[in-house]
Amino acid sequence: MSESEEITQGSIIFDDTLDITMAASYFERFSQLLNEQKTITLNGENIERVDGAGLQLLAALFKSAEFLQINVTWQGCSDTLKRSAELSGLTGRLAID
Amino acid sequence: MSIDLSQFKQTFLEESNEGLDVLESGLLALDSGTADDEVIHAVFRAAHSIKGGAGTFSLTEIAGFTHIMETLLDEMRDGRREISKEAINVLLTSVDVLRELMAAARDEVSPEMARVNEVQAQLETVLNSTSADTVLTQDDPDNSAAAEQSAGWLIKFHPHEHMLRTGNDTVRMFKELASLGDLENSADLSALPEFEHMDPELSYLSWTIELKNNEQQGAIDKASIEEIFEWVEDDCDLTIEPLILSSASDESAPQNDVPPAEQSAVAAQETVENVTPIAAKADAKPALKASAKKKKITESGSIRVGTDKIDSLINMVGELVITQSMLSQMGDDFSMDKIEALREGLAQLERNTRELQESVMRIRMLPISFSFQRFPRLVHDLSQKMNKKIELKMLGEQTELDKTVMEKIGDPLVHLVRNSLDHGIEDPETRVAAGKNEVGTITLNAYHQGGFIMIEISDDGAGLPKDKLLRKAIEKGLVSEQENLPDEKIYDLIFHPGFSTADQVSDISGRGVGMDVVRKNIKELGGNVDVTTEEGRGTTFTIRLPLTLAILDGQLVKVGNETYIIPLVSIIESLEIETDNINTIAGTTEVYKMRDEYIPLVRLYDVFDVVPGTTRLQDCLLVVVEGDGGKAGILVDDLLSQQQVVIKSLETNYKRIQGISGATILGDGTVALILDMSGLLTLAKEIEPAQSYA
Repeated sequence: MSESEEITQGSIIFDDTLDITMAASYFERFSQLLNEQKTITLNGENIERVDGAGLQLLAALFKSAEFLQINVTWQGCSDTLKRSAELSGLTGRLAID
Repeated sequence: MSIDLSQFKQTFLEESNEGLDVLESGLLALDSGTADDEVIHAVFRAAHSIKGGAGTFSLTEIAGFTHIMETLLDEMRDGRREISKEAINVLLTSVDVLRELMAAARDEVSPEMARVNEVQAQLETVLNSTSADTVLTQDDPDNSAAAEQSAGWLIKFHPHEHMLRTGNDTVRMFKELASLGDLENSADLSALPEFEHMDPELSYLSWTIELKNNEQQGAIDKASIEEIFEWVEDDCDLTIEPLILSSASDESAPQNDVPPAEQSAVAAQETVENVTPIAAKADAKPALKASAKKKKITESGSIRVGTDKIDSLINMVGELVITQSMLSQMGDDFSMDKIEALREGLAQLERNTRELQESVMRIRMLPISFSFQRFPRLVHDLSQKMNKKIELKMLGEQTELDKTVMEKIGDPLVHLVRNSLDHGIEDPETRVAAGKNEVGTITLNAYHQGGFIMIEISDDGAGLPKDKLLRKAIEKGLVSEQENLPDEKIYDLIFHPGFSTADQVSDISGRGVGMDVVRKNIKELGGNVDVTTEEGRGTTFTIRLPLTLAILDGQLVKVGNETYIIPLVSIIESLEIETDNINTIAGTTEVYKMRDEYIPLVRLYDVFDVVPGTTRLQDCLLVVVEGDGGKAGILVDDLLSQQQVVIKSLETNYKRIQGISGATILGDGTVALILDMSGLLTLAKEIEPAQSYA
């Protein structure tokens, strides 16, 4: 995980890639956040590449957060992420405007 | 850690070049009417792969341009469009544009968008022409008939758990789907386990996708969809059915309806992205060509090597290690009674080294088809332009030669083939009048002979006009009227620089344009080119080239304390000097009478200013060499061994020296200079201006 990606409590700023090679790493961090049961803020402004595994992980996060009544919001969202979510039919599930 | 895609970009570009070759050769086969169904499928697949790869690497110009080509090819493939000459010609031009776009991507410069847009417009004109959709497919009524009647396709896609781990990406697949039409996608998350129990690299989602026809792209072909899922067909459950909308009368007319406003914004956006980026970019960058700062063009830096060659190399290295180990062990405990074993070991080492060297050299060997493959297109284009009917035959395409030689022989070959097209093959009327088939034939043939590769360029055209050539040579003072030149010397005149100017060529209406440059370039590669011809029957150019430029067969000669290497290919013979045969012309120039001709003598020690072992001619040996179109005798103290030497560039390591083509390191560690015969003889002439060469 790169230096540019900072962890603050309840929030994640994604690096430029959210794909299967990063999925295990982000899975750990999402698990941690879900266990803390706080509001989670995501910043996807830097995402330049996202694949099916990355989107599925985000979908799983939102689904689990909904079940746990954790509020997940986007602070920023790159065009790549938006377009990939739209193509994959996940815009609504990921609460991407 | 994320994957740096740029490391694969070069591979993509190289593979795409191969795809372009497939495209071009397939289109040429379609044009000549010799293609079967598989050819059009192969052409379509090549375009499709290039588009997909370009999209992955964000090469939007290439992806967008190829998309239009693909659409046209798709219609041809399905039988919805006739394979017309006009369409093939535009597609062939498009291949050229794609090559330019690839080159720009490789060099990281902006492409020339004006030409791209011009050809794109031509493609769109063909695409929008009325012939489309008038020829209905005969072979798969389920497919396009269904597509014509339905609003598109309903796709149910359920990846198996492991699919993502195979490197396949759903986002990429959806992007490709969206490039075919208007896409609406609905994801099913019901199979997602609880977060803590999920494996983030497994796939749990499934999708129901409506892929609708739109006005711009027309009916979507089922095969195009299947092709997108081709790589995952064993890794997913997939159904593709015609999409019948409930209000079909309102929405389903696929060809002419304006896309409904409520259709997916995603699909609309994707359509725009895939179809129109070129025009958009062109607007944004009106003066791309002028502003482009062209980076240094990089030669293709990689080579594909067959695994058999790698295996052979590994075997050789294994043998070498064993021999080295044996010798090392012997050295640790050496005694004179082991001298025979040492000799055997050294002989084994020499064998291993030579075999290893040969294996390494084989790695650089490529089939000459890499060079030949440009000619079908060249012949196609030029024969159309000149209204000639020409068939191109290529033989020995698998004959291998060194990559560097291949790269350098390309231009001379093009020149010779163009000459055959232009001046050799007659127009159909002339051929018929001469009792020939109206279709002329140009044959390219490659084969190995000795340590050389031979390339023949033959035509069954008019042949060289001997009388005109001779007359021209006499006019120019190259030949005297009294001189009785044998035929081969007369034909050889076409390689004389005096015959290379345009006015002279038009006068003699024969070959000659730049032939001197062709021969010069081939000689620089250590080869030669000859011509044989028969008036009215045709002409054959025969090129002889060394298989590699890295290794040379040389004769080691001694002059004083220096060792020089004369390329064996330049040596005619070596002899002891008989002083009676030596004459002096004009008091300074020494010549040697060898049978019926006089050859000038070159004293190497004078040329290179070294102290000789002897200056007495009767104590020297004479090496008769050929270079720069003439013979000369090189005086040396002694002939040493003949051996293969690895050429080291003098320019790279020191500087260019006239008369020296390179250097090598001998077995005893000393450096020996390799003589360049043409340069040496020129240098000798400068030292002895009165000297003339036989």
